[in-house]
Amino acid sequence: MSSKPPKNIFDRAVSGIAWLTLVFLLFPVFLTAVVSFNESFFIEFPPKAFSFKWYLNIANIEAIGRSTLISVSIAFCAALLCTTLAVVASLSISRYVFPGKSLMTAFLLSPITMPMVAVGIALIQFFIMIGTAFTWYSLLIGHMVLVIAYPIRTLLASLTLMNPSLEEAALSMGASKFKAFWTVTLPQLKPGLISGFLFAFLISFDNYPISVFLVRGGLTTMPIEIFNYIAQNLDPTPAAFSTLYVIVVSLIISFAERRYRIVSYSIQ
Amino acid sequence: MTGLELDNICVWLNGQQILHDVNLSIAKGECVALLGPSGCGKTTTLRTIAGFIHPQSGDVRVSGQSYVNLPPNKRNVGLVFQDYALFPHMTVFQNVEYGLRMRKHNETASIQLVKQFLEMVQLDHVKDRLPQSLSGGQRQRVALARALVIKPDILLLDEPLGALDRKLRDQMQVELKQLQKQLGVTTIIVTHDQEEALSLADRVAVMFGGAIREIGVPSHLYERPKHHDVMDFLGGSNMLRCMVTASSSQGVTLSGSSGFQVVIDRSDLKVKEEVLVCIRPEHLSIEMPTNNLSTSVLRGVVHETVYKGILMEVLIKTADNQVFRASGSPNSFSQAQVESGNVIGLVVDKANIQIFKV
Repeated sequence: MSSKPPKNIFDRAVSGIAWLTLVFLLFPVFLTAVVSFNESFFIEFPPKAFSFKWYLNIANIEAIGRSTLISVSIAFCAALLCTTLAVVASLSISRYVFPGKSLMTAFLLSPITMPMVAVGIALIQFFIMIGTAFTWYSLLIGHMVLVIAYPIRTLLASLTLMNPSLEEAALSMGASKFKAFWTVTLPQLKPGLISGFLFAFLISFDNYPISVFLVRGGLTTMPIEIFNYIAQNLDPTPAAFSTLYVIVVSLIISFAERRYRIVSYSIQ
Repeated sequence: MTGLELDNICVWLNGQQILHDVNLSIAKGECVALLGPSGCGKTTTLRTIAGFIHPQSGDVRVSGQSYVNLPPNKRNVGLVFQDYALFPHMTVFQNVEYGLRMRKHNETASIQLVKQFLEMVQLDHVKDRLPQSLSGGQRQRVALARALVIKPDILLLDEPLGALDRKLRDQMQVELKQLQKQLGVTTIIVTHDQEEALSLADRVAVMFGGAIREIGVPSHLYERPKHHDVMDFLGGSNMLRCMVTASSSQGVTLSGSSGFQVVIDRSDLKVKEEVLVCIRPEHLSIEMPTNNLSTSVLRGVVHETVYKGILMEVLIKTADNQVFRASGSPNSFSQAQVESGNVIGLVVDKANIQIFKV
């Protein structure tokens, strides 16, 4: 048994604030989960009777199912394309000196800092101008603009952590530049690729403010349909859906963290 | 037959000249150490041979063939990095096999070859483990096997033993030397550790400021260096600027500051000529005033003693505040000889004085 040093007031205050923050963040999720299992049609607390019926009701709402499929397809394609593009971008940022490099880096990482509504308005004006507005492809491109910064960030972190001698070692043993990249560098970037892909997927899947400008009619995304449903109905089905969503995302993230340590790669 | 030739290599990096006309000729199977302080250009020389740096002028020739315009992967060079650079996602076996796979060797033949080299470095039993799970010494051996299995024309070692602890380093020094001789591969070792250079290499090249100052077999370089800075870098030296003050049939008298005076049998020095006198700490011994100090070359007071295990170093300060070092085994000094503040004289073995013209 190791004995812990006694805690002073500062340590206690810090851990107290940390716990409060955690409660603050998790309480709404907890509340949503509790409400979703309540039998009543109205959102009420404390719950009176336990029921799965709102979970079963998700399947009855056709718009949610359809828009979730669109959201998954958009998020998957945006994440895949952006992660691929991010490999090239982060390699050039980390390895080469070229004119306008810092500007380029700032630009590629800027969607994170730009107000999303502004990005959304800019995108829809652009798509209307070139005549491709309200198509699946323009929605995809809009989401790519939204998420490209995340895989670039995680890949830059992976590249910085990677030992630069590894690639030279591969070259000295007769590997061509491409072979060395494929067999040595890319496997080293795996945590960055996976966390970049996951972040891109989740950010795209979850996005409302940019999508809202780019969708119309049958082309809608899951967050927009959920929001529409809440605007018109009072029952706890969205709470059930949200709870399910939180559980699935938590499982994916914790698996990825356990397997690839993705969180440590994205916090820098 | 020459294994490797460097011909007037000049390298500029970021507008700064790093290598100034480096010339080096190494026989096939020979092992040469590039020794020098950090920033002297030894690693740049190594990277130029490996092909990671393209020299602005000069040529690299291996067995007579010019390498200078070949990319690293077309040069047949085995490289052991300071941090070993083992591929962390591959097993020991896959690491060693990598070079053969890139050269599209026959698969059954390469499995045999990898097995043979892993046995040679006594690592056959860990062939399926990942590098992270190995000890420092084992990683070093994997890196060595990986560099050697491709049968390189040149083996390049960058500070190969720098990351190992003292005991392991001594053991690996012996193993490395045996392996190098057994395979007869032309080898260059880059190191800042003079002991490593002197014990591993057939010849040692001392580099200063981007050029090779002096090259020679270890014993010759240590005992009879041609340059005072080489002598100072290798093993350290007391240096004193002197002037030839008299000449007689017994030789010439050299006089310097702090009352230093010595008569030495040299006919090539003329009166009034200035020279640099260098004496290694192990060639200075301490004499007590009870002996009249008649044979002493200079006097001073004991300033400090530094105990180093097999050696003890005594720092002596002269009247004009110059510090001299004398060293010997700890029990060769008496208590009075190392007591701080004691006035003592320094005696030198004349055969071991090195004189450099300035």
